Amino acid sequence: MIDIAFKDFKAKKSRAAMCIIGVMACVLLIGVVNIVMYEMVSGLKGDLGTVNGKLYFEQNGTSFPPSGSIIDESIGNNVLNQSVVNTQTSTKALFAPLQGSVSDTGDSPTMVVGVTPGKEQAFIGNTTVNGKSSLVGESDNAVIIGSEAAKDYNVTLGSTFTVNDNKFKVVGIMKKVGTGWPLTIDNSMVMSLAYAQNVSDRPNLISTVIITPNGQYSAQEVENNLQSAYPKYDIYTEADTQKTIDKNLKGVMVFMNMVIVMIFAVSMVLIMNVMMMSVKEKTKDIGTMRAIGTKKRSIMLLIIYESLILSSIGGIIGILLISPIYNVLGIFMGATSFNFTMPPSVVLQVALIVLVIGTFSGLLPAYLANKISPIEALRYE
Amino acid sequence: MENLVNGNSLYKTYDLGGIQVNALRGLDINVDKGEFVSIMGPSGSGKSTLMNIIGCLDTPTEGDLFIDGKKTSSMTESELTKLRAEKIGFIFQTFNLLPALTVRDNVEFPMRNLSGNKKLDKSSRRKRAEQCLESVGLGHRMNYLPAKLSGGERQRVAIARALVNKPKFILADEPTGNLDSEATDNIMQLLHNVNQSGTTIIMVTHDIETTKNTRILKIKDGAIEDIKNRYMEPNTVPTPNSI
Repeated sequence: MIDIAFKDFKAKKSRAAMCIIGVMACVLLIGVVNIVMYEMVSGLKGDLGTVNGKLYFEQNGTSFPPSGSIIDESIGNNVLNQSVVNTQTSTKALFAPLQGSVSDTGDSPTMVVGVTPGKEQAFIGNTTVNGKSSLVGESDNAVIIGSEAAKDYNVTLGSTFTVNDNKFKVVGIMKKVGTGWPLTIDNSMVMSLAYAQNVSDRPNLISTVIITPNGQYSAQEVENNLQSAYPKYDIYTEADTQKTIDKNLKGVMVFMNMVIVMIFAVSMVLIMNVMMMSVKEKTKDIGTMRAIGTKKRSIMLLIIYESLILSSIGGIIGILLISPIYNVLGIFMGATSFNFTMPPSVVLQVALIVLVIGTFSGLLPAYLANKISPIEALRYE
Repeated sequence: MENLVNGNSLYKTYDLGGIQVNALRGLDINVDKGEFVSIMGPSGSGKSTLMNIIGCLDTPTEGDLFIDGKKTSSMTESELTKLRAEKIGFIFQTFNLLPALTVRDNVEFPMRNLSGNKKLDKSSRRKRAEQCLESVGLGHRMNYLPAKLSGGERQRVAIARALVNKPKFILADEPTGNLDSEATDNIMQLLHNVNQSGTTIIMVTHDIETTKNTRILKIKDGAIEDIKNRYMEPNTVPTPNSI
């Protein structure tokens, strides 16, 4: 019956075209929303990746990033001397928002991250750096800057820029790892701890100790050890960071999913309306088919196939257009190139949605078609 | 003679908003193989009801109907659907061709409804459809859509469609009702040819001229007056009084 459905579909070209355009628009919207969610999730996973395997020793009651935590530097030194701590890869650190801006856009403050020179890896991990990835041997005001911060301040490798009378020299630019969320690498400027304390006016103060466990200890053991040694302080772990990300993401994801459900419903109603009209017009034909011995099941399949054809064609065109449209939107929002390609998981999700839309939109019209009495249908004008 | 349609004391009552309407009142009907039977009667006499019951589109309220020896009142809906597909060919006044399908596809369509060992593959269906179209003189119109055909041509396609599953009998509901006189003559000639090649035909008609060389059954108020063997001589046009 699928060939009959296809011929029926071809016979009503203009109506089919309107329906396909509608489905295509809905699929485009669903696809773009899905991509935005995908980018948010994978971006935040990138953000999370920067704290993989590390622990943050910080003031009680502060969260992440620990810019609100104030600890005396001597305590940081004590923590670093604990046997559970890998002193080679752990470091005292100061996190402080950089007040003032010289960026063209005047965006939100960049996070100053002061670390012991040579221990930058404790914060930046395996992030790819264009230029120098270590501050050892560099001037006091040398910085390794995140990709978003570099854009905000419009700087390149080797640039010097000033913020609030503080001069910075860019020796390295980190590759984008996440969503540009203020808490992580993309919006940070890594510099020596001493210079960070000077810029932030926090002499002999730190925010945290970034800890890598000593080889033989697990993160949990280190956490338990340090927590019992320093009960008035908090140990912020990867799991805590995940909770923070989930909490921040939850509201957005719920909203996005609601948008998808609404678009989904609109698509179904659109196709269902078209199929109801089609069934109404075909009343006499359905009566004829039933009279000459066509089974109810075959007539149901005919309607559902036609519905699937409409949704599939609209869906395929929509899926093919998602990447180009997303790239164009990106250009309008400041991207510099067309380099987005749709992830297979999003294609699969959207294809599944199209299949569901096509099948279920045809169900009610198909059911109604089967309720038509052949005798009444044959009399239908 | 093999009996194809046998109806005994058929009653059909409709409930129209509390009012009982008796469309058939104890009607008896017998049609043997090879016959060409015309059913005539005024509007509201029960012709359509009788056609629907013989065509297994409807069931009698009382009485038994046997189609090719099988009692239809004990059949389920899917069994009746199967019976219609295999044993009955339909011709409608308004042709009822499927507009999106070509002439060939329209004629092929009923063969899709066959099942079991009667089921045919696509090439066999196509071949059979083409043969039926050739037999009605429309071999040259196979790829046309119905909208491109004249009324007479459409009815010929409908006849080909009715024949394609080699039915036991054809039910024709006013087959010439929408045709001019020339087309009417052509269609009636075709139906007689079909009948002479062995297919039984039961036809409802208002047009007395089309009943030539047929057994005429007059129906009135839900009952039938069987005029046996009133096959008219050639060139004699029956008049209402003669029936």
